[in-house]
Amino acid sequence: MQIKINGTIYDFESGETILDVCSRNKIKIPTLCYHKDLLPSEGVCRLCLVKTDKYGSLTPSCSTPAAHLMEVITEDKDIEKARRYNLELLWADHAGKCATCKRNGNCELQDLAKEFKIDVDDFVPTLDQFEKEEQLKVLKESLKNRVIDDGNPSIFRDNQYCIECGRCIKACRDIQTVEEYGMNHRSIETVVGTACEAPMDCIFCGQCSIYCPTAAIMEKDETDKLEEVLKKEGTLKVFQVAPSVRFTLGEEFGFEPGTNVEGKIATALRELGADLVFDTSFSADLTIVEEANELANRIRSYLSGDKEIKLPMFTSCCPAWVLYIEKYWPQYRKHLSSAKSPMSMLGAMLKTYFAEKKKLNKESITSVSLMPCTSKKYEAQRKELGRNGLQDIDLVITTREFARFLRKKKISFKNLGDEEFDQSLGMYSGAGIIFGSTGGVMEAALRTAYENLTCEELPKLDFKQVRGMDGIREAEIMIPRGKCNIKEIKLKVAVAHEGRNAKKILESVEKGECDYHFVEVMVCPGGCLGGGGQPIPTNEEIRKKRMKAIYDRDKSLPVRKSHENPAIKKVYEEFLGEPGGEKSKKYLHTKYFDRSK
Amino acid sequence: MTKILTKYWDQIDPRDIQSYRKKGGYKALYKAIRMSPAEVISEITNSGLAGRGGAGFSTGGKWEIAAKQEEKERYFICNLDESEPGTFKDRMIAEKNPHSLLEGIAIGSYAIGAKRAFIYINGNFVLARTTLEYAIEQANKDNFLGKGIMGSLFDLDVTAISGAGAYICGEESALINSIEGKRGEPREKPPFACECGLFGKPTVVNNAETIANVEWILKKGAQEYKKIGTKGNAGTKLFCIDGSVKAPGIYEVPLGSTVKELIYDFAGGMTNGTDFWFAQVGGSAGHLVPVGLIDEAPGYGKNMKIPLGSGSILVVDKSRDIKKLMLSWIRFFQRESCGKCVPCREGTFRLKSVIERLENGNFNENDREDFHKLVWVLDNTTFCPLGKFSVTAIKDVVKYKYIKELS
Repeated sequence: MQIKINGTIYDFESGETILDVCSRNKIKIPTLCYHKDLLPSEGVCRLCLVKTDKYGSLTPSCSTPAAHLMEVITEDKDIEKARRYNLELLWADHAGKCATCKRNGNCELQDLAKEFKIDVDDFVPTLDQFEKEEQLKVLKESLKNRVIDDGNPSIFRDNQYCIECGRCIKACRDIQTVEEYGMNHRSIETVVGTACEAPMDCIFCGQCSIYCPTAAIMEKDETDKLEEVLKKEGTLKVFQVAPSVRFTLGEEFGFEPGTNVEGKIATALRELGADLVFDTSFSADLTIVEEANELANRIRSYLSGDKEIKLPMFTSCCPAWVLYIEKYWPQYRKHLSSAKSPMSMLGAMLKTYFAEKKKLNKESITSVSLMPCTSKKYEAQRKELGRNGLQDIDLVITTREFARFLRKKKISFKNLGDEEFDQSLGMYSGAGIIFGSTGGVMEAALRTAYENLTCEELPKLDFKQVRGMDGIREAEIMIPRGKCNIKEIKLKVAVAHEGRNAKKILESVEKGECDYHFVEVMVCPGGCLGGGGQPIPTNEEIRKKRMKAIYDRDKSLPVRKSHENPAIKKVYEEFLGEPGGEKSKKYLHTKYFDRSK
Repeated sequence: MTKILTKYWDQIDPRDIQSYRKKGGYKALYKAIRMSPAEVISEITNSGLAGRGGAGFSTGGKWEIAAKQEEKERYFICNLDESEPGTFKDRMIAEKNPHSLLEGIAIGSYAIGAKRAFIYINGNFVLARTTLEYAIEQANKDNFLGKGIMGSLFDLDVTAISGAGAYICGEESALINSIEGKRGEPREKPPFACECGLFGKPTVVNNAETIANVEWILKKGAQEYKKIGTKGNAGTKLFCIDGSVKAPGIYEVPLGSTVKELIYDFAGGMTNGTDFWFAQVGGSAGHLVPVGLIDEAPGYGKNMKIPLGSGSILVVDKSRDIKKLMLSWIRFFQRESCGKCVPCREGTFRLKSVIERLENGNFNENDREDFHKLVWVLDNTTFCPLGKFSVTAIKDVVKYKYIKELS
């Protein structure tokens, strides 16, 4: 089918909107409430208006389907007027505090205001039109519904910056099925908020902050605390870096998505004053050894006819997923693997094994983690993840916060040299690094669980069926009798990312239709590489680049199975004993609570 | 003069189904269920009955689209969210003759194949709601609603539902959202409600006055109905006349009556000592009718000089303050904006503050520029018609040069 845009004919496929055809052909149309991940678009910002011969008046290109032989004009005086006036209206109601705003320089509204040269004074009455008292009244009125929500460990909201585009509502409702947000009030007082403006009580995945075009929803900024930690003398400052962060942080400094900057991160952290830089990919290997062992045990019990055993087993490294279960499906918390997340495992090992080995005072260790995730801030505060009143993780900094901190410290990230992580808790296998992507935990666990169950070497390392970006990916893996002489079993596994797909799996478990043995869930699109604390913007294309980089890194590594990582072997030899053993249970496993009330 | 809607208003007891039946009530439904749904639809289409909510879309046409959908689960909704200032016809129908509504709803549901119908009542209409609820109970008891209506295979469950009284919920997709328990906000169109409406199923939303016409048409036939009114504007219409007239009130008038006739023949003419300035037809969203247009008849269709809208007429005399009137219009639309799209949410607020300054004398050159920008942006870029309606009358004030600061 063909459509004529600005006099040129373009081909299009059915189902495409006018905006789709335009962006494919590099015809620029400003948008604000539109985001490719959040379709269908409703067209509430009225910036993408175009003229068509079919509808006569101005119509939003983001929600109008392209039609055969339709004629479209994307630029003329009326269209320019419509876009400009609506932007002026938005700008007049916006906080307009760019200089101090944390999104300064990465704000969609600001970009458009620059492009359209929007004047601050539009639609705002001049001061001489008001008495002083009246001015105060107007000011008070405009702040009447201001809500600042910092009552949770992860997300910070200030609706003064909100432009009511509704992207957070869609992300939360459509991608995550959490529905924490909705529109409150009416007319000019309309703002995005939680029900009755109660403090946020969700899974803290942070996807809302990724899709917010302005600074209305942000990760809770703890760079000040980081500053404090780094200044404090007499403590051992230990950092850990999550697998995905090294593939995304570069984007904040102009690198292509997927560029591995782990060397620069190590350098930067040491320059800032870190004493030790460890790698969460190492503890990801540890998680795999424990989790695969748990899976193998569950499978063995299941094969021996144990009816009590809970299958499918769910992964438990995604803190937002754990909260999703605890809050909305608490009856299935026994399905969650009891293994702690890699971050918490490293925290625990640091303040037990490492402290003992190095004869350090546990209180003098400050453990900071660089995470792609806002929900990790919540996880770090869980009471059960610590000992004797000491939390295993003292501070969680997201990718975006870290980038902001580096800029604040005037560190020229691009020009940093490459250093290595500290080896004792920093060496990782290919299985550890792919934790950063959806499907990664599954693949890593399969590599280890296969050998655990069969006592034979895995013939082929890559499980390509569980890779990719489909919402739910399934695979069947034949587990032969092997040297351990177990019953033969066809292991059915599934990988889901985004809350909506996780929900489908939970619903099938509820109906008794679920025959998977093992399910990996990451609630963010693409897994941690699309996490709520990752650089903005994000879209499928960017996520795919990040994903490719992660799998390429796996391929390039000499050791690709967690249990073959020499550093892991050493930890078991020196301290833990065996997977699932007494010490492992004490330090590396946790329990879950019913948080539905 | 033929009366269709108001004929029995004070002759029947709205709380007694028998008094409605004595006047021939529910005979049209009896007749309808012995016809095929397609026959009922074609009867309504032939009558030329147009939607009385304001848009004037062919009622039969709407039913036909819904009846054609593949999805068999369908809904019928009676829109009784009347919130246009100065309009009170639907409320009166519900309070005075609720069974005529129920009968129309049953016929419409039968025609489109709906087994479930809703009456969406403005939250402020307490009497209308209780009257209707009582009527539904009686009709269920007498088997005019419920299972196997009058011995046929046709089942219908009617529910009365109240919103919180938001103006926007009179817009059909916002109304549907409200019934679904969502925020009252319009939806993107297409798809239209008759294709994909309540809970994603084909849904016909008809204004209460439209529905009240249906039983008469079925009883007397489309040809009889067509004889009333003009070509292209068949039937009678309820007008709510208000303002500087001697006898404000509700009048049933054949379509085709001019504004002058409505004011002088029905509403008793101007109150003593006042001069006609202009009339506003169709509530706050309506156009202004200056003296020059007074001999025109309001009606539906593109060629009409005065769009009929909801059917209210506000008569304004020369002693009135136009700035205050403008302020009341824009205050209404500002308060009632649902807040979904930028121009309506932000624009009505800014326009209100500009008009406030116009009214209190603080209007300057900047404001004049802003005023025209805001009127343009509301007129051309809003998501749903509410935003556009907010400046219909204000545009006319500019057009007829009633305020010199604005030109």
